Amino acid sequence: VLDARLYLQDGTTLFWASPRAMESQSKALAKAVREHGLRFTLLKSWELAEGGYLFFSTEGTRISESYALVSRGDFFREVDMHNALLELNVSTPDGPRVVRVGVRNSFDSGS
Amino acid sequence: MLRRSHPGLFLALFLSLGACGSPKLKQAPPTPILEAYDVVKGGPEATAYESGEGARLALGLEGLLAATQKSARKDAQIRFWTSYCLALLHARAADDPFLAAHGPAWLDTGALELGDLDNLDPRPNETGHLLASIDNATRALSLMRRQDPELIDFLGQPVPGGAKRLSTRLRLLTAMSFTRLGFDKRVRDALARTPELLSLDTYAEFLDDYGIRPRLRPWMCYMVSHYLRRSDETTAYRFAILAIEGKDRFGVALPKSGVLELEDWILRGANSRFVCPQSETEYLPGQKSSPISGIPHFEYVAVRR
Repeated sequence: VLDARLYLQDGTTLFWASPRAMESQSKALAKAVREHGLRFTLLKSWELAEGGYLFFSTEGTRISESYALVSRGDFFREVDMHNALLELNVSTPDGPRVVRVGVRNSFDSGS
Repeated sequence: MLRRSHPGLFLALFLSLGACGSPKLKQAPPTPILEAYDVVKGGPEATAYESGEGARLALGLEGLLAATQKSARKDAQIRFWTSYCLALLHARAADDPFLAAHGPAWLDTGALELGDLDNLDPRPNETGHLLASIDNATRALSLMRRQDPELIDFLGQPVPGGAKRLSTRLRLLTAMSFTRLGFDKRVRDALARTPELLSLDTYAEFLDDYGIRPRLRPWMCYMVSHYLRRSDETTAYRFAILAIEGKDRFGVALPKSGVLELEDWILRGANSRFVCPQSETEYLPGQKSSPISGIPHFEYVAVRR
């Protein structure tokens, strides 16, 4: 089960938007996600690594430039997207492992 | 930063806060802050935390925060105390989550097709709560930099240790949250200010004094062990053993990934080997003492690798 998440600095969680999930929202979006999105498969050696986009659902939020407006009851909260944290659950020969990557330098080093 | 999105509700909340509109700093502490402070203040007098209570307390505090203005001096007290309480509530909730734990209804689960996500076991949203704790602690510490004495004198009850104790707690919790996420940001700054936590003779008393819950103590020992690796490998080893044996020593086990990381350092990463002072047997994962002498792992000594 793929479990990629983007955490905003206030703890709000955005979930990975897969091509299949996008089909029910918009065929054009699904096509874009399929063409440009990162494919989750066995990782190649680092010399052969390829870049790709990860798309996340912004349900419950509104994105404005580098800020997200997060609905919280009767008010909304403005958070800086640069302080977000990407979390990936990956399978390794030693078992499942969580990989966390800071979007900008809000985080010094990670594991 | 919070914004009010509904003018009608803004009016209602403004009235309920009473003195919030006063230009003076002195104002009655709002009920959500007093309720949350009873839960998070630490020590034996702290109120027990009921499951599900965190969400209600957090929503009440966030409502207060939304009604304040970032730059308004009159709002500094409410902004500080809501942020302080939210930071501690979220740090606690990392192990007892109240943030949404699974995705929206159309979440694609890849290989596994699930028709009804209500049947999906909720996964603790540890990451979300730790980030929320860091976010609120950062705001509270930023407000403390103004060194306004009235900021602390707000609750109508004594705050043990005053501003120094509050800022130390916030710094330690922030450092520990970063540690739990796998980052070392702010750890050195927080620990350099708390030498009592770095000594095996005083750490337990320090944790008791600061009301650090048993659940967080293995993580505290894990963090200290990391910090001391460069300067004092023997003490770093002993704090690692405290963290690894968290279940026996504090009643709460460190997650397996944390234990494996510490054991990897003990067995391969450290410049020293850690051996039994009598039998010279090395540290054995899964054991608590030397199988030959019976001497506990905690008492092992460092020898040059």
